[in-house]
Amino acid sequence: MSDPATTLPGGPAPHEPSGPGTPSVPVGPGSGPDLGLDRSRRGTGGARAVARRPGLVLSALFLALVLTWALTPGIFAPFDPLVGSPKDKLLPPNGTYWFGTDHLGRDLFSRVVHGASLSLTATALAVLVGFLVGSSLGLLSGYVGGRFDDAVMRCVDVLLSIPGLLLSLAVVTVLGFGTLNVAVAVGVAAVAGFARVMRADVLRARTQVFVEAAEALGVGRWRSLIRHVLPHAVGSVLVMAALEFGTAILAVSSLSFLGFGAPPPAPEWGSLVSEGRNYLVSAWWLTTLPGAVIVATMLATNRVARALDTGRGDDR
Amino acid sequence: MTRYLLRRAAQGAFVLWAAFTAGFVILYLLPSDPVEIMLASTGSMGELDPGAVAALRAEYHVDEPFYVQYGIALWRFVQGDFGTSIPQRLPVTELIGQALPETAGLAALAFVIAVLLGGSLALLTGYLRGGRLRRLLLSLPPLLVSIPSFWAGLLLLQVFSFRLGWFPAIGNRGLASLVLPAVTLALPTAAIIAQVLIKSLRQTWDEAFVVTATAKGASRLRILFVDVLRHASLPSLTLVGMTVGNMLAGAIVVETVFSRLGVGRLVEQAVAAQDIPMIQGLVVLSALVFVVVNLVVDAVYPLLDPRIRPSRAVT
Amino acid sequence: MSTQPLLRLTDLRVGYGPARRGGDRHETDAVRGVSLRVDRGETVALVGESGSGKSSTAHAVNGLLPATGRISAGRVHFGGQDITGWPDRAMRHLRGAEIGFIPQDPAVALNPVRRIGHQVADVLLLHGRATRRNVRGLVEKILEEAGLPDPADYARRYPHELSGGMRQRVLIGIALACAPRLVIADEPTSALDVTVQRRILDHIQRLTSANGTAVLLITHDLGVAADRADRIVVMREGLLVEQGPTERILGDPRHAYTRRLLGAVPTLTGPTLIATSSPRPEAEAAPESPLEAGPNPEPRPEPRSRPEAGPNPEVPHLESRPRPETDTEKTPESGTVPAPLLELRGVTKEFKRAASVTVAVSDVDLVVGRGRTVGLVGESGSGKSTTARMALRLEAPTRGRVLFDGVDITTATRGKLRPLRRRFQPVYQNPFASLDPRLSVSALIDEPLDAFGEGDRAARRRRVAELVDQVALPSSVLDRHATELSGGQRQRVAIARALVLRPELMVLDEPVSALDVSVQDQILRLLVELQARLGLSYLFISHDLAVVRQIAHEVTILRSGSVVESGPAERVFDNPHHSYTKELLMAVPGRLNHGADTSLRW
Repeated sequence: MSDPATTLPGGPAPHEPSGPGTPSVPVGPGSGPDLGLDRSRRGTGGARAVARRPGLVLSALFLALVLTWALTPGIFAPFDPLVGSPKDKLLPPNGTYWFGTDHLGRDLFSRVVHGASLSLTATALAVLVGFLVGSSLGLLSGYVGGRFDDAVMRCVDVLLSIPGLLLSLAVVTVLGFGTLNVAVAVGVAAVAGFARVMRADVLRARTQVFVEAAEALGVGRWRSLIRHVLPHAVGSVLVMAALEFGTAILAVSSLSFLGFGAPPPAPEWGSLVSEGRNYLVSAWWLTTLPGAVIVATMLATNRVARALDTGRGDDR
Repeated sequence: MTRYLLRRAAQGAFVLWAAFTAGFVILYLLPSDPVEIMLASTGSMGELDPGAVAALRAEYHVDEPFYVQYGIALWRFVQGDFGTSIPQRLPVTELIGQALPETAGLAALAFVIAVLLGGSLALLTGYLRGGRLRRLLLSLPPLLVSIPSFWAGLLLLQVFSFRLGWFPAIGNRGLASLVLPAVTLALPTAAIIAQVLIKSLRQTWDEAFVVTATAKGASRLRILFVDVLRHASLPSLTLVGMTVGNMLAGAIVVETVFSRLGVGRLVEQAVAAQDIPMIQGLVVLSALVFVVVNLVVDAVYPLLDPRIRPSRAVT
Repeated sequence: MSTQPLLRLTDLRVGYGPARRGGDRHETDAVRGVSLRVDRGETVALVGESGSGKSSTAHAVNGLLPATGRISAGRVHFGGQDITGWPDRAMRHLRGAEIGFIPQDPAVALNPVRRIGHQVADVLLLHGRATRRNVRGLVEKILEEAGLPDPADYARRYPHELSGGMRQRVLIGIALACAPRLVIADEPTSALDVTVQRRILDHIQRLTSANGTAVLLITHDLGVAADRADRIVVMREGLLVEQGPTERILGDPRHAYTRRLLGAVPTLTGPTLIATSSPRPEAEAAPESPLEAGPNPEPRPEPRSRPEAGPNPEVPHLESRPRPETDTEKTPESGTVPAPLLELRGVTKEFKRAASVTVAVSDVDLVVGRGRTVGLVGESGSGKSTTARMALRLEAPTRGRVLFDGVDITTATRGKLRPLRRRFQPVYQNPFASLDPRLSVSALIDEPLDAFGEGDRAARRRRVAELVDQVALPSSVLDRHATELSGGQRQRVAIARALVLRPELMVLDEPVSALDVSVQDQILRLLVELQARLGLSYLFISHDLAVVRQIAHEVTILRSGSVVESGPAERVFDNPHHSYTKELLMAVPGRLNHGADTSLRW
């Protein structure tokens, strides 16, 4: 193994010339003497990389836990989320009530677990709406090009000029309140971002030399779209979807905090925090703990999403 | 240069018009009847006064074909008239005008905090070559981005107002009441600034001209400030437009948490009351802010990056 | 003064990545025990291919190794002092003041957002060679010495307002501003056009010899080293292969690698590939024999069929043009005179941007006959790549006509072109970009077959295997991804892919310029073999006259989009008519005299 860059992870070839006459072409590692066939960067490297990153493993586990809360809240919640025992009202966290109780004596932990179902469903729906509508718009826009592209991108620019939360609120104003409407509203606000990223990636993939090479070799247009352009373009949109999940949790819980989500007894995460506002002085846990769960969920999704992103980068 | 700015201004005007139109389409043309929404939310509880309904329908021209409605609305928009807020019975522009200074002050302070906080965080990580401190600093921005501002605000309230009593909990009185909301508003923005700046600092350190500067015998600190920072701050500059827009969105939550009066609070109230003319006005306002800020950025950018100035003849 | 060398490296090792304990550490070292010296006022060339560790060696001297790199063993003495492991604070006083540095690529080595004058002033102010008051005058003097026409004006400019050559002059000015005792020049011209390259090297030579500055010149180009250095040090894979006075290294290379390297350098004199390799009898006999399709055929190529280094003026060349024996009907000389395979007639390409129109190619005529190789030569911006794209009809000419096998394809639609596309195929400059990183080698080569619905799965498999064999790759590469292959191997895959549909014409756009010299030589030989065996025609685009000379029957020289000169290769090279052609030829390194028989004429 001669070339240092081929053996060192992430080490850029240290100032070696790319070769005569190709100043700006970033020639990757291994343009040296032709003997480097034995590089094995795939396979077991992945498992070891995870073991080296406990934060990522923890994030993934936490996400899995929250998702199972959302799917089967009954198993994890020790109490009824809606009915409390008034004698136990406003108890601080303890062995029975892990997160304490609220002013009606309801178990806060059970409410958080049940709230996962509402909040995460809304989040997932929002991401789905944004992803499906946005990326198909972007794909069409990038691939068809011309006037259509111009028109779509102008719309996208306008949508991007309005802050997402405000846009969502405008949609909520029209659709009315409720978990489902909040989800759609958050999704609508995400459409423009997805469209833009997808379009940019389609355009970039289309101008790759290997796409042109395929065309020059006689490979048809649609074939090369499916075989070369899409696989390269879809990656970053998927990563964006993962990252958007975190953003959407934030947006959904903000809307629900403002009181535009499901009506009161429903334990949405945002509204849990909002309900606790009246007891800021006397019962800190009512705002702090549900909020902490939201933060932890967001951190975990972002961590996993970033791992997906860099993992993809290594693969190239 | 002036031609370039004029073109950008024209594009800005287009964005404003389009934002208005988009708002109009979403708010007025969806299948629901706007007048019903308005009346339902004003708490008239079913006992609709037919005369009032007719008056509203006439005022908003609901019965006209949509292009007539649109034409009328557009004409008003051009004159700066967004109609009357339904629950408050006052012109939208007047209400916004009253609330704007409060929010502008809040956003300005928050922006300064965000730039200082995010900038110094990034610079510190840019200077350090490794070690635990750097790793700790690097982990901060992702954490800050993940904290919903309503939660951060409530935590700050709990600690600094209720426990320590340093700042008033709510209200619009004086500078002291501005601190906690501004910090709350600044945190996510600071995190974004730090993230972008850290990334571009890291990329700039890998540029070949840094090697040249090192080879001249310059110190790392000097290289950071003389060579790297200016080059690396360019991407964050384009971020400013987005950042200011996010301040407006953040103000919705922050002003609610701290019970402050301001534009954000107007948004919250307008949505709660389904006050469609108000929402329309606020959407256009945010687009206006975006357009103006981006115009400023466009004007400033060439001062920092000579490459996009019209260059002199290359020989 | 003393006989002490200015710079002495003793058993230097440079490693990258985290320091590891245990035995395998030295395996990953980029430099593994290099000892060399540079005397005062002397020019020493450090020559090697990529991965040889030449840059790491040089950067270790003044502490410019990237953050992950470090000197793991050995010593660096400069001016009698042991500077190994000096802290940054101490090294700063040497850098710029005692040791100048000329970077590789002037396009990126100056800060784009600072004025030229400030960037020059830095080095003077840092080392106390100027005060704020008099720095401006000194900067202007340096810029004037650098050969910029109006120093006061240029000092206020930004790098993007200067051409590549000018930027490199500024960088040289910075490197020499404090009159250092040593200048490290890291591939100072490899990013520049050949004519500019020569002027820049002259410039460095003039300034350094005037001041008695020693130069450590890092280069991949033996020709440059031969022209400029007093002594040559050859490195390979982190090890020092051979060092000695330039005359000795060139005239009497002792190490096999040096000889091989010398043999692989294309030159403007001596035999060409088409003269020496194609008439070999075994070319048709057994398909795999000439390429030694062993398990690992490419590494450490033995110099085959190539006269050993050294003057050999008697080799008859250029007269014995290879005639593709495979298909006599197609030779242009045969009776019926069929249309040439590819014809560009007065093609012009204009690009409209905003209000202005750029003429990339203007009225170019080009004819590629069957079984022939036409070399299209030009510097950057000459329009050679645009011409190639028009020949492939990836771009439609603004004016003029493109004919393939007599058929006018100037305005042919996608559908009309498609059946023709299989007859002319491209090979791109950068095999790292032109192969989809997601596909395996077999899928890549299979792709054109699949696209044209050629044969069933089994037949295609066989054809793919056959081609891998034909381009002398081991069949084990079939299941690998292109990203796992080296540059030369990738280019072989790209060639196999272009060949799979049995085309008649290949358009090769700088096919070897991203490759090391020895790999380049192998690929050129492969191309010549394939041409002889399959009767292919090539349109070969390159900036490198010496490479083109190795392979082309006819040459067309482009400059700023227009044809300057064209004709049979031997005529153009031996008796150039146009002054630009002469200038290009003069600029090719390896021609300056180091005594009659030691310049690169073997």
